[in-house]
Amino acid sequence: MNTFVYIFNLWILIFAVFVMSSYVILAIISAVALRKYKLQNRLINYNYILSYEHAPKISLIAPAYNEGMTIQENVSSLLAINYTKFEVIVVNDGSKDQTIETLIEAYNLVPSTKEYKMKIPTKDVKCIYKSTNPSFSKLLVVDKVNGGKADALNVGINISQNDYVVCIDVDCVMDKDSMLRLVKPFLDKEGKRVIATGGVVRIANNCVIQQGKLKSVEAPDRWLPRIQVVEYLRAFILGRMAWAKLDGLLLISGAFGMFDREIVIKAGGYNHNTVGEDMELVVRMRRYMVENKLPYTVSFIPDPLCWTEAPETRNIFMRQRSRWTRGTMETLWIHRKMMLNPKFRLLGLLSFPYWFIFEYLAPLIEFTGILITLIFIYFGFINWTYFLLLCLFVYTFSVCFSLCAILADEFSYQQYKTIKDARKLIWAAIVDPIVFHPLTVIAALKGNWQKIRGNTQWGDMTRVGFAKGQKK
Amino acid sequence: MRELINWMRSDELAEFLIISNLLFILGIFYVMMSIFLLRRKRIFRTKRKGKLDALVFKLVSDYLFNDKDVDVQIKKLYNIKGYSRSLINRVLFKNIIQLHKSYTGEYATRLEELFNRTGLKEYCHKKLRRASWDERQELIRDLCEMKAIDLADDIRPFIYDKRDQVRMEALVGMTKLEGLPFLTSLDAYEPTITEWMQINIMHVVKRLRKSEDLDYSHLLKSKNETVVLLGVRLIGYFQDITKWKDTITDRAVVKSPILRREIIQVMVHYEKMKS
Repeated sequence: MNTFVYIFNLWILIFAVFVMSSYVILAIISAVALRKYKLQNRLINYNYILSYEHAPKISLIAPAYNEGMTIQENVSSLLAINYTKFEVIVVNDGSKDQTIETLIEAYNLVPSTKEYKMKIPTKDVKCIYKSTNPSFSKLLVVDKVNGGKADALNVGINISQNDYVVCIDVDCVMDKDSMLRLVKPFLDKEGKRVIATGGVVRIANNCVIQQGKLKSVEAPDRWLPRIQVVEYLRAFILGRMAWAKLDGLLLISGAFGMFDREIVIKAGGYNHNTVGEDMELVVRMRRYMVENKLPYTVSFIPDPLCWTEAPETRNIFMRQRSRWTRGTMETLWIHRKMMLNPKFRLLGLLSFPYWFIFEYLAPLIEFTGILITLIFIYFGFINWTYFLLLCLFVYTFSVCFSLCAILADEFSYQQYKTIKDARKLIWAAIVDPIVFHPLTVIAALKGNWQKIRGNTQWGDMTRVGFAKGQKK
Repeated sequence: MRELINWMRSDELAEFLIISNLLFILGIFYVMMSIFLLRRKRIFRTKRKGKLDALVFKLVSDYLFNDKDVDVQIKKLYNIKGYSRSLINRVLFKNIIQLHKSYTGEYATRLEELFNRTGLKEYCHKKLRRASWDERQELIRDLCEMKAIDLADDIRPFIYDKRDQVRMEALVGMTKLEGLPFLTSLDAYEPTITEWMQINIMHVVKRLRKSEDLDYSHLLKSKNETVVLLGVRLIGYFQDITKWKDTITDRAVVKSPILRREIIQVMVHYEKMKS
């Protein structure tokens, strides 16, 4: 029995060191890439794109479901973006509230004669509306039968006639130059086709937002969103930046990303059968390019481009995270052919196994470890010195890593400017492994359980929403 | 495996964990202090630089708009206490550049004179060769903004720099200094002029005045399709299609889809104009 205990301990230690090393390696790659990006882009005047007659035309696609309370302000915010050649396509996904009525009234909408060509199969479109007011000539509203977010986005892609589509959550707040920054990689690459660009999503809770514009940034007061700020910094600044540098990025956040429409359509659009449609689309587009031997790349912009509201209550947070777990599982399963497949190079040999082990399996391994430890404690097999030292080892690393993410932000974008904000975020980093991390593990287990039971629902994502001119 | 288990049974594992924990705790304190210190330093520096910026701006504005003597103003500038000369130089340089972007004519000339008299031009020129690539990019941009025509020969070689950013800045800068003839002489230019570079070049082109007929023949015959694309765009922008339509049509069979599309657009526009 003693040997078994030691073998178990050894595996836990090896796994912990393995996870930590991968985080450190990714963080180093990210730091180098971030510095390079900042240097290369510091003198850029993005406004030149505005006066460029050959600037790419883009369609912003915003699916809306039961957004009646906030839709008018959110659409106004989308229409006010700093870009010239764009259209906004709002897709009402069979809302049960007054979303469509609010839009019709607010923007003087009338049915349009525009024909709907179904390049990607979708649920039926009831009506396409255009505004009679020339001020809203860039707005197109589609009313359709409810089919989920993926279906609504596919309708938007079908309707769009522009080369690039930006898929965005309707309640996201965009930074002033978001579109210009997102477009630039499409204009900048030689040889390889840029099929998608993702940007950093930041948390808007407690920030001051006026008329759909971000006025000032403040770290959230409430613990849950505050810890998520640190989590997002870790994920975007120290994680995705490295994957983008390695050209192995598998996920562009569903809240904000720009895609090459032609490739999206050729790859088949968003998948209706997964709740992780954002990740699945990126993987499928990449797979399409590799299988057709087309040179391509997926870009990532570390600039904070989009601000979204993070869940403030534990229930909504758990719902969101269990959905993310299901999405990851589904994507990994749908594209299992890519796993360890040398044909997909880094994507198959590194990105996929990484997501499988560290994003999907890690919470399960962690839970198993805790369970076995409890059994050991019960039977008195535990070596308390070793156990406590190991716990401290994981905890201190975790805090140190989170602080490094805050420091990286301090060096690069300094979004949180006051000493008070720094103090808030440091406390969040200290509390995170004890309070927040166990919740993510439970949510991941819940996600697995829901998947086994065949749950395919998104679940409600109730948000606190905008309060005009107030903190969000 | 046996060895690993033995290692775990020994005290070495506990020692390893204790040392790791101590290192991580030290790391936590170090990073935490760095965050606080960096933030404090940034707040302090922003305030201090803001004060200097206001002082410099006042002195430059006095020279520019109130006809104050240039030498007196320069003396006052370098007598500002509590700031290093290099910081004053940097702030002064940025102020001059910003104002130069906003004014033309006499004011712009006066700013160029101030730029020469303060020794900033000489300082930048010396720095140009030994600077890192990012500093070089900025220097090229600023020198060209300040119309340092006598430095054109020093800037020209950078259009072949291995860094895209420096190459672009040099192309844009040389266009500012030498105007459209510089662009029409790029026929033998081999590096790719990316879409982003073209955006920047065309932005400058729109601010230039075309005083004479331009000879696009070399550009259109270039082996570099991105150079041809630039040529077609210049013809389209200056509406010089009538004279060059045959040459453009000859170049319609090309690999680059963007160039093909551009040629079609220019020709369609020409046909519309004709009818």
